Amino acid sequence: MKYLFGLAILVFSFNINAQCRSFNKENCKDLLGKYVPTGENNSVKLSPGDRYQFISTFYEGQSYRIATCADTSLGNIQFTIRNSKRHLYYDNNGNDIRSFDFKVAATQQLIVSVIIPEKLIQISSSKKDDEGCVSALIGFKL
Amino acid sequence: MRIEKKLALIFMFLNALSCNQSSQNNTLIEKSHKNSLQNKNKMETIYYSIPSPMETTIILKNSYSRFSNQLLFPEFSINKVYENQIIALLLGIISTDLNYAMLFERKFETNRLINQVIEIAQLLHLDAVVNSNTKERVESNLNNKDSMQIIIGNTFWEIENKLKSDEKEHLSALIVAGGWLEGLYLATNMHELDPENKPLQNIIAEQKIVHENLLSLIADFTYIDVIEDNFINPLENLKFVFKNILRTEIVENRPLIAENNDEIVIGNYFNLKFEQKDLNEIFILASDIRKKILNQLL
Repeated sequence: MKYLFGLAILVFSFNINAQCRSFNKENCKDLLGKYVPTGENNSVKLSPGDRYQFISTFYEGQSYRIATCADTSLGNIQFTIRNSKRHLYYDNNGNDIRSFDFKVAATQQLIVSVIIPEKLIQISSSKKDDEGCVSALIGFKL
Repeated sequence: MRIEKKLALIFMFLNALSCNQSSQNNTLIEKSHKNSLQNKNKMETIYYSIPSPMETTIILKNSYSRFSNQLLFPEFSINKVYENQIIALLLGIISTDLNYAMLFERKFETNRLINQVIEIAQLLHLDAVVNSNTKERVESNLNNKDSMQIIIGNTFWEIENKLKSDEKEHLSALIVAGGWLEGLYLATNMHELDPENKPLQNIIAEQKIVHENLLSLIADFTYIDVIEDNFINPLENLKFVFKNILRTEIVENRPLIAENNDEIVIGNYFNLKFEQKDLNEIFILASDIRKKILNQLL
């Protein structure tokens, strides 16, 4: 049930648009440093309280970096990495750490979640006004 | 049940809820829109499960360091191909070959393949992304493999963006599928040349996960008969071989997060169980699909 609820959040929060794809290119690529982008483009428009998740395959022996960035209006975003059984490997706990470098024990799929913090004071009239672009990039070492 | 199927069910449920008070016409429009959203969401969720051609070829090179230009897709005239779906499939295949040649710093082959990629991309109206400027940048960095990989990596990132912006996800999926097949073809042929290479064997066996995701991705789209018959259906048949490969999680007290030479290692450990005959069958099937592309689609 919890899982289905999570998926429902995911479904509602998916709102891909071209504007966010260019946001990714302009604002986030530097976070990968010397890691080469895998070509995966996880850019979405999210509002406070939204969650976005994606699954990616990571190969044994490769060094990876996952980097996230978001419109400043969204505040410090939280990002987590879990396995398919939802075991938590990494959580930045919503602080300003934007990237995580790692290897995998064996080739496997991992779930990356990006969670936008709820706003303590609602300034705008609608949730849509609070929307902003969020991107997560995966890079690997040559 | 797979995540994607659950997503589909949730969407069907949402469709049912949202369409209750609509007129029949509105319902159809709503359904069509929701289906299109569903495809987009599925594309986003699954697409990321399939490694890019560049990543695949880098992993292959780490396990097998000899280049063979005999493995590259034979030269062909793209001007005789009129179907966008076939063109997209070929773009995926040639992209993998380009990465393969580039990684081994094969200037002649890299040059030939980048020209071919530009030519193919133009037919798909991707010339805003891949053009003579891309070629110039590649040529001026032919001696700098790292820069070239970044250029090519970014170019394919932009191709994906463009196709998605233009709502041509079905073509994007074919590029991904073509690229994956060519990677599998290269890997299985390398295995034929070096059958005792264990890392290479594992790479082929591990494609079981990627293959499942790839099938889910292409299942969302309808393709022309010639693509269905000569590419999609044979690609699906690979599942009968991959099902013989067993991947079991190793349950032990080893921590799931560890540090190794200052690097953090996360995730589970798995055992892969397969036989040589499984890898040989994958080799035969991958080679057959490639033959079909050559003989039936070109």
